[in-house]
Amino acid sequence: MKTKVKQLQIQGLRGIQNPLTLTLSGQSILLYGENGTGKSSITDSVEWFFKDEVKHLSGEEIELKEALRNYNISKDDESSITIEFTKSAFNATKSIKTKKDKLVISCTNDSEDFKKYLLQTQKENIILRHHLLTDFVDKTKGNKLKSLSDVIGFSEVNKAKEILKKSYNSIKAEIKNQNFEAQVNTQKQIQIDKIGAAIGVESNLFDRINEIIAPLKLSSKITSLQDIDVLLQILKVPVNSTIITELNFLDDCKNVLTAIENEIVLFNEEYQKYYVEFVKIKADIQGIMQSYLSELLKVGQEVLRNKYHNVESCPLCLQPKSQLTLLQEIEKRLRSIEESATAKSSFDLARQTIEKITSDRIKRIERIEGNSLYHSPENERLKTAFEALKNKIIAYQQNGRKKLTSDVEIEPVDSIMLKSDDFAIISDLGDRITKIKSSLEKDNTTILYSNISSARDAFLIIKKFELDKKVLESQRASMEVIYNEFVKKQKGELENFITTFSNTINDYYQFMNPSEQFQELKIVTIGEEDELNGITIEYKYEGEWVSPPQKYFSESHLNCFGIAFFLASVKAFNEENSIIVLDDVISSFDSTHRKMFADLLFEKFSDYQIILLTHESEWFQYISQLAKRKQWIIKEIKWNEKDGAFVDATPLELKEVIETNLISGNIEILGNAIRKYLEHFLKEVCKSLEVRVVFKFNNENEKRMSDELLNELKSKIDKCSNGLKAQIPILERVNNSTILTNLLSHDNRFSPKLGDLKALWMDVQALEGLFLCSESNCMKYITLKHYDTVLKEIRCACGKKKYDWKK
Amino acid sequence: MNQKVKSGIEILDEFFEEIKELDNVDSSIAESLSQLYKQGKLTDANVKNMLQNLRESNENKG
Repeated sequence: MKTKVKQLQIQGLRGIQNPLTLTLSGQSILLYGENGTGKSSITDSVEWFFKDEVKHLSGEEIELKEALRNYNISKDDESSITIEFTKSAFNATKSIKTKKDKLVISCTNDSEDFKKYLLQTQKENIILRHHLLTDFVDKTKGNKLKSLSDVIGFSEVNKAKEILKKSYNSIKAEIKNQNFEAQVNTQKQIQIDKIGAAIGVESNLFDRINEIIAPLKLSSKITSLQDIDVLLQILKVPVNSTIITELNFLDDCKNVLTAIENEIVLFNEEYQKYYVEFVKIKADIQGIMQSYLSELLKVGQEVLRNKYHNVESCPLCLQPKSQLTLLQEIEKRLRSIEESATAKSSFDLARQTIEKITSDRIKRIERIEGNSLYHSPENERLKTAFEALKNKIIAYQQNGRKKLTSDVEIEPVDSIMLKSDDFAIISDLGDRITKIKSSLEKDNTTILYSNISSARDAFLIIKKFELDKKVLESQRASMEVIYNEFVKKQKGELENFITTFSNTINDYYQFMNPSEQFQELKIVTIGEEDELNGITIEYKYEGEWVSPPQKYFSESHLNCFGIAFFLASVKAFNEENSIIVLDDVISSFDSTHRKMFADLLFEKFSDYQIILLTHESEWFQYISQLAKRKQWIIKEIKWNEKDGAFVDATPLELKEVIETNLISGNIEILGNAIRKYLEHFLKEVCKSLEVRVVFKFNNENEKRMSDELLNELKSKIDKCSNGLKAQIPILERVNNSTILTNLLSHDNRFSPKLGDLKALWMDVQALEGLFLCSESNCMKYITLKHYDTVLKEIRCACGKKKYDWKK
Repeated sequence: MNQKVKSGIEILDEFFEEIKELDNVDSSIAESLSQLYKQGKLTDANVKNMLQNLRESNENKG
């Protein structure tokens, strides 16, 4: 037996400030609320309870615990969600509270059963939100794979795939940026200059050095790197260290310059790629605007979260606006910007490459700048040349760092490109090196020391580059296999889902579209062999296979398809839970499909507990009639500045609230509760007695005040019933008190006395007693449905409460 | 394909359990990715750092 929810209580989470309780006893509920009243706060809280995350709140910019906390509660207040299940072993309260200035999450149920239950629930698909469906409809086929995955609960798989892909690409970029080949070639050139051969194998290095030192007639031969160190120690004694230091410095300078000169093509090619991407993305004004807005919205989010602006208005334009609604809107917009940001990923990659290449080469130049000889007067020209080169590389870097805005230009490659002329100093350096070497010609030992030392260093650097490259290549190969295997698995499992459930999906779709000519709908993955680039939908139309679906599909058709996928995933994965939360998904449907969707839920998911949230008032009016017949609970969620989100209580619940608070003397809650109770039962009585009031449209009709209803009721009684006319003084008393009840609305700051409220409550009960049967097996109002045409009497259901009535 | 239909989490659990068995994959990378997943720390930054650390430890050994 799968589990359902008996009761749900939320407080201090998202838009819900005061405790909001939904007593469900395992029944489905239709919950209506205008936009911004806090419907999605219920969905967010439930998602957090089950999954420990709220997907639309996840992201680097959002701290989940803070985002979950209600905006108006104080630091010491607890935010919590309590769910009582039909399987009581799973009952739990999950809360966020401040401990030592940190927000801490805790849960009251730490049983193994509950942990297993949560683990299982992670695998199930219980929530569908409006934006997941609209994404599925709006996305192009490449991105449809992601949105479909979100609908059927595979979003984590997509997320992991993106992480593996990015990691694989970052290793590839690292190999490219290191430019190992050019760096190894530079070192090989040093070896050729110093010992007349480019050497990559250790034994060849030893052989070559043995040949060079043969004239010294030393007793031992070089057979290891340690032997080279010993040899250098022997040679070091007669060496002119000042000249050698200068020679090494100049060699170093030459090597750095030569290495960068060898990379002119790399610099200019990568910059050209970046330039093209910059121009491309700049042409997309919308993209630029969004990157602007993203930053503004993030600042706005911070201002609101940290309560820097403590008034219920927009901090920018100061128009009155609920801060909660503002925050929700900002989050929604940030989400959509985040999605469009993926379009500029190749731009970001090109920009990152420029940053990596330039910062690494600048570091190499700065290492030269750190040498004391760099600042000596004889190296002034060298210094100037390095500075000029560094400035050119900085120009690349600065262009790479330019903020993407509509009026910003970056320089084309022609105006900043590195050229051979920038390295003219290399020839000067060569001359100086040759000159020093010539002066040392007679000092063979010094030359020998310098050559062997440099050749050994170059060899070690080559070995290090080779090792680094090998390790990176090995990581790249591993990540490539892992990524490809992941994609293969994802594709296989997705196709398995589709194959297994194609009949179910088709059934649900056909249920909502009985007269459609689309037949044998199926989903087809796109991609060669193990690739998975997206999905498309195929179907038969007048006997022919057709794809893509947009060809004949309206948005509503695609919605039906998305819903069919979600419901199929519910059947596929939900082993422990019989709960489905559908948050405003109906908004995406046209009126025909709305009805069919509701019928689908009533017919095919009658054994599930559905929490159906909507802001569509007309649909709510229609569907609530059907839902009532199916024993669904119907509620309305409202929001006000003082209390946040709250659910309209039933008369029975209101009565309990009133009586409890009359005893405790809680005036604040009492006033509003009595007013609501009076309005509620007057509407019921007026309906039962067919009291006519001035026509008003749906919402306005619901907002009638009690004085209007009382006047019309009195007038009806005057005309129809002598028995009730005798009780008119009770009506008059309540009518006189309507001034008080009107003052009890939230918009007024009127503070009544407890005595006034007690008296009002007694009058309201007396008035209700005129119409309500007190027999415990009846408890119904007198109604024209039970009109006795012979005796000309109006009665309650059991007939005990009755009055004369003239029609 | 008549195998059991798997949920997203089941697909991931299975993949990161089987990752160690993949041919031509460095066992330390497979193990580290599996650990990051199990700890709920599979992010771009963490994988990048993990690869960097493995390179450095390789360098120190070398």
